[in-house]
Amino acid sequence: MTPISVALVEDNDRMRERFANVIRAEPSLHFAHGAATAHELLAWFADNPVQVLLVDLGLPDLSGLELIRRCVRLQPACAVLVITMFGDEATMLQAFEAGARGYLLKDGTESDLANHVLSLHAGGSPMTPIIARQLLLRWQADASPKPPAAVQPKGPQPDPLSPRESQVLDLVARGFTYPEIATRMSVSITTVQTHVRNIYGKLGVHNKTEAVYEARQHGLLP
Amino acid sequence: MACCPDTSLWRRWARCAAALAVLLGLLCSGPSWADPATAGAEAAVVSIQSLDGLLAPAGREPQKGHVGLPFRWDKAYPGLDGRMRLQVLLQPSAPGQAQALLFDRLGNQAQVWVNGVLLHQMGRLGDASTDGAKASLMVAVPAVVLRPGEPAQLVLELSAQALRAGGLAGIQYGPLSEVQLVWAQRQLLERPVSAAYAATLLMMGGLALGLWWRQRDPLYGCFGLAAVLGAARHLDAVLQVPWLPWPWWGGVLAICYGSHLALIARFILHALGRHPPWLVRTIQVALVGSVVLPVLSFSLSQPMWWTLALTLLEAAGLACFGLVAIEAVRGQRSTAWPMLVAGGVALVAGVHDIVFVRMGLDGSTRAPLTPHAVFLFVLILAGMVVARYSRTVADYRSLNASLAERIAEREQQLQAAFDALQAQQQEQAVQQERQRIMREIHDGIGSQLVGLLSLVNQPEVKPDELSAQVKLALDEMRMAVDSLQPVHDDLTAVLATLRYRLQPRLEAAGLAVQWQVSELPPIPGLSPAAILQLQRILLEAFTNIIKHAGARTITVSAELQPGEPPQVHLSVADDGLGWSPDASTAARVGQGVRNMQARAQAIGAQLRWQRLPAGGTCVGITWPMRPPAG
Repeated sequence: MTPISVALVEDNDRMRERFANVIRAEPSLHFAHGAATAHELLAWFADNPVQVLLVDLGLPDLSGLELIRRCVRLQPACAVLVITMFGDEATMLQAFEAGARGYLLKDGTESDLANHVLSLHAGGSPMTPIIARQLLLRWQADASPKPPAAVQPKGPQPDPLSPRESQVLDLVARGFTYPEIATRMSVSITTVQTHVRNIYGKLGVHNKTEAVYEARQHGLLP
Repeated sequence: MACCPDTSLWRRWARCAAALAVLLGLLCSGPSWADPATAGAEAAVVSIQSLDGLLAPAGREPQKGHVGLPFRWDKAYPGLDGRMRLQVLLQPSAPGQAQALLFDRLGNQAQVWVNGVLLHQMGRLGDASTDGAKASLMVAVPAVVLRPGEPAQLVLELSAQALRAGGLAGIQYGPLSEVQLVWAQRQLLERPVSAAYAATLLMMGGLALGLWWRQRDPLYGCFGLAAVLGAARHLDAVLQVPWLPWPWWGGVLAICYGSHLALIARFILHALGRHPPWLVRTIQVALVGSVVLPVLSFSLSQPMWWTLALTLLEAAGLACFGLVAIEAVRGQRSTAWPMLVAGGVALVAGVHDIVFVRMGLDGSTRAPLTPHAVFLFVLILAGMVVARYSRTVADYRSLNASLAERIAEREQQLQAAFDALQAQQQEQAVQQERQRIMREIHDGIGSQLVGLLSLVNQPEVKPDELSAQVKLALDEMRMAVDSLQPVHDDLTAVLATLRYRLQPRLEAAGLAVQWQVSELPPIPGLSPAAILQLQRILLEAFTNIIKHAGARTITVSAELQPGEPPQVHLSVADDGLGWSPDASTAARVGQGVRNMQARAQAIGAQLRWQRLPAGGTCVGITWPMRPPAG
């Protein structure tokens, strides 16, 4: 089995070195490239397909969210993972909207890091209770009727959640683990993870439809 | 700078003066309209200068005499009623040509006979209810009445009342077509002028009285009354049949006219804003005089009393004029100069009227000028009203503007104060939060790091111990970060997050978790500090179980019990060896337990350890949810 190719953009040298070492040490992962700035990465990224891209959000030359958007456009098949600080849930949500598929914590242990990359690549998607709660609130706000029409600008609504997805979000928000959720819902853990991935996907779709909508608004698209 | 208002003032005066001059010129030319001599310029029209007559004053012997024109009964027989019969031969006229007679004045009652034919009758002779002597009269003489080539005989039968300006003035005779032209022109200037005066005075009087009614300014009241009273005399000139019989009507008119003049004098004082007591009293005396004296005069048929009243008024007017002159020279009132001009004109007119009209010193009949002169005061009042109104509007606008400005200013100040207060509160909140975080870092992760340092410095330190200490520090840091998460009063999210963080470690320790957390309602005022304390209590409980209990399962439950206040019940139970603070195991965890108790106290919660019958321990937390103080 060919190792999974991983590229990395991180402006902190020590952090970048640490991630690089972790990836090199893991036989099933292949360290393809480590960039210090967004432009350096973009220059390389255009010609070199990779399977996983790790992105630090606090880059000096370009907003990490913008970088994610561009990379997703360049290589839609590549799984973009955000390297984030512990507890920065708000930024994680934005990253998901920009097209990221998962996140890594900067202060995780070495084994955590490698396992996470592998797990994410395999389709696993972690979700903290706080993210779940914020997503619930967001979809509830979108779904509930809004009498004052002027409050929110008219734009595309995200695809509504299925009842199952809502249930998953609710249980995650209340602190249940994926296995517990699977038991409660009488489904497999894989199904739960699929639900979670789909929820993240809807955020990204939301992002895409919004982009199309905005392009139409500005006359860039027919 | 100071010259600007002066020049504008001068310009205004100049304009007023010019207007007055024009009016004055018009008035001065007034008598000439009544002067019969000028109208006789037409060759075919002749002026009759004298008549022969029989004059019969009441209560005296009739006497024959030669009557020169103009003839005024009052002057010949002051205070007496009477009759007269006058006759004269008129020049022959062309055959078949209608002639006409034009009388400047004829009355008070009259019959006009030509060649024994009654051509015109004004009232009934001796009946005082009508008065024809107020305007000129044209009588057409039809050709059938005339005998070609022979002079015609004109006979005038007149009756006159005392003090009523009866008599005869200016007779012109000529072809009807010619005389008619002269009369048409004459008519144009007689009744319409009086009617216009009357209407204007009534209108201005009404306006002034309206202003007085709303503002109660004596200036307006005084003028309004004066104007309405003054209108009576002009109105009378238009009336052929007065509303009252003579001499009552004459008395009423005189009282109206006299008090009109007195009130105008009072108005002048109001307009100047000066009220010297002596002058006020003088005017009051003149006012009373102009009511009492006409009554005397007309009831006793004594013209001198009325003349006295007019003289009294003239004196009061003269005194007013002096005051106006002083004010004008002092230059404190812009109305003083127009007032001075009007007053001067009125005084001259008044002297003219007393000397020539009332007393008849020059032996002629003249029309009184004072009613015309007084009209200047109407213009002054109109000017004052316009000026006051304009000033009021200007003041109102500037007041509005300054009010709006002040409101805007106050709003700005309020906004600034509000902003400052808000900024201060925000700064205070930030400061407090910063201090709290500093304290948390110091007490939490700081103390962990200090412990780690002392551990590192020990000679024989095991890597496990080091690792455990570092993990504690990391836990501490993560809890501090989590306590700052925006959970929006959501205790469920706090518990869920704690579990999410601890789950890998619990799994690593081989512990299963029974998670029995029901959905808790939002808890208002759930502060980061309280969240952190609760997290620490729970973490301590978990850590104790991992380290010491030897348990396989941890059961976490949370529920809200309604009450006053509602209470959150949390419990962490294990199925391990079981211990409680008083048991021997407590010695090893003593410090941790004391910490937990202290933290529980800090958030107002109660901790309870319970040994479970089936083995294991349960830590229960009872936390009353008091609404945030304040």
